[in-house]
Amino acid sequence: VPDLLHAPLLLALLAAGALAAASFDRALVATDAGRPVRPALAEPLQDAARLLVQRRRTTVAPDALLWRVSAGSLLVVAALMLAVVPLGGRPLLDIGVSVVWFNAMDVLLWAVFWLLGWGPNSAYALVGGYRFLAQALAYELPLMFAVTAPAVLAGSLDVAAVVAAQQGLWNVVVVPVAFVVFLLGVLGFSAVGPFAHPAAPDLAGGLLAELSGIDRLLVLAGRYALLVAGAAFSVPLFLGGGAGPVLPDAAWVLVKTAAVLALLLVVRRRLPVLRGDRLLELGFLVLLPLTLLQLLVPSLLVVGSAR
Amino acid sequence: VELTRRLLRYGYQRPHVLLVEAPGAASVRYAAEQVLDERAWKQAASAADGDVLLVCGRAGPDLQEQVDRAWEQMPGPRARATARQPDDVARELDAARDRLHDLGEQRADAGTRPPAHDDETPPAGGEHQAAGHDMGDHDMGGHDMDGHDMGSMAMPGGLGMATTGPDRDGLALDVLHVQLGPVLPHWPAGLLAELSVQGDVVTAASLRQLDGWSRDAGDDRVQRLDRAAAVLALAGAERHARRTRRARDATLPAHELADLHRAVARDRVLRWSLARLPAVGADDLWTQLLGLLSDGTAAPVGLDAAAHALVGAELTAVRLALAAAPSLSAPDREDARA
Repeated sequence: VPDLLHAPLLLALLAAGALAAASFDRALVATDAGRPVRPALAEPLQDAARLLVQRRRTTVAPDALLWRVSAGSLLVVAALMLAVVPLGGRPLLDIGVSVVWFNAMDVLLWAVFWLLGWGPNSAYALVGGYRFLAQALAYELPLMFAVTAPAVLAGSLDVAAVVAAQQGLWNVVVVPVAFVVFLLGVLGFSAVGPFAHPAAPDLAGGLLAELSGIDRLLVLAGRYALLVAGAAFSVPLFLGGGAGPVLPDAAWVLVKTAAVLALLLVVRRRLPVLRGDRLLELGFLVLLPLTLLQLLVPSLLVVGSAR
Repeated sequence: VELTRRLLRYGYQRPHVLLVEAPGAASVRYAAEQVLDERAWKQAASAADGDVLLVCGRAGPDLQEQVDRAWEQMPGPRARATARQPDDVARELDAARDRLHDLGEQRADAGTRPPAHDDETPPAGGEHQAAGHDMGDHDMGGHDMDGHDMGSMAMPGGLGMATTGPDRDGLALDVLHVQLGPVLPHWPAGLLAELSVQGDVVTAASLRQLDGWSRDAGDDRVQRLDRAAAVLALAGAERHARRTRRARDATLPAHELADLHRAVARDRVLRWSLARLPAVGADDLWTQLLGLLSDGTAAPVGLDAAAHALVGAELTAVRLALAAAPSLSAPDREDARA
């Protein structure tokens, strides 16, 4: 990809991916409800039009600056995550420590979601912010160790090196548990599905409870964009990057991203919302030990091959 | 203007509807939920998410006051409607959607809302620190003490600050006073809960029924399935919830109710998520939910007893417990029972 086009292309892919994810999601809901699928596909566009026309409301004494900034930040963070995903060749943001970069971006979301809860000066949103921090504690450490496994196998924190190290055998085969935990982490930092507690119906929408108009649109789109970015990053990390027959590398990256995204969306619709204390149980008693054990596999492989 | 008109028509094909149920009008709400499910319209989770405010049944004066507040908090374009009978619902919703598409009417409505005050949650008034074009430049200084007993400090927005109190671990922690209901999805009709919360743990609770008591004459089985559907929806188990609503509305064949019960009972993730939660009028929420889906009967629970059961629970648990609770009764009835 020519350098000049790389950034606009990534942004276009992110927008298209988020829209496609939303359409697919609505189609899943329609199928479940026994309604025709075709009209459901247009629903995200209609929702976007609705939110563009809608008045932006405010609350009493909000922290307007932090509230608005955090609403727009989800999309920015998603774009920054996507910037380190190579579409075949080198990634846009070629910094040599892209695995750490991705992790840093996902930790940035702690602040973004917290401010989204803090901003409107509303109890529902504030509790939503608390809930996000609680569940972040549950998914973050397992997610970090899951991301570490491919890096250990490649002996590098550079995502391009991780792709190169998967010649012949994809990481998903070597460290399957890390792959599953990574996908759970993606659901976690996007606050959807079982991790939707911060924006759950019992809190009248929690983080979303006071949002309207363009701010709501940015947050809803931002959560889909985070799913897209997470799915895209799983491809170089676990699925061999652009490796595949016939099609060019970039096409394989897109196909694999779409497949992972579809999987995330299906899983999301099948599972109930899990409360923070349950997620902490899951995170610390199950996922963390599992990922640590999983990390033993690449570590032993690396030590073994060094002998 | 033409673009706005088109966006209005395109964007508001499926408005989000904020449902308010007046006590005694459950059947109207069932009809409304059914229409929304069929049309793929969405039930609004909060006033900020609502385009149409639909009051089901006849709201008494206290509930009406709360409904008016919710109306003030809706962003707009907006429309309000009242359905007194189940048969009115579809017609009222159609009319409300047409009003949303009417640019002239929406402009006129927007004109009635002063820029600095739009959509503020009452108590309104006060000095806004918040910058931004949407706040306008109205100077509200000196206004902020009106009618509020705030002590000597000027509070942002005329609101009281959080106070501190000892928490369950013996630490001093902020206490917020939060009102839940009555304009809230999956919430008992006309119920108002005043809670003190630390984080999301309830430290004190009092419950009040607005406009006195009015019993739903509905079928017991229908009411049970409705409560089960509310619990499932709150737990984020939307597939089970939709099926349960269809069972409630009798569009699901009777033998499928047994399947439904089995499907919920076998959902291990849901069970894990709902296990060990407090319940009102039962020992445990999960058992209570399965009872609602079969044929358990439960005696009404007094308001005070219900409020007592909520102390120490988290907000999620409070919402779930009240959604699953058998019908609540006046405190004096409870005394008579005892």
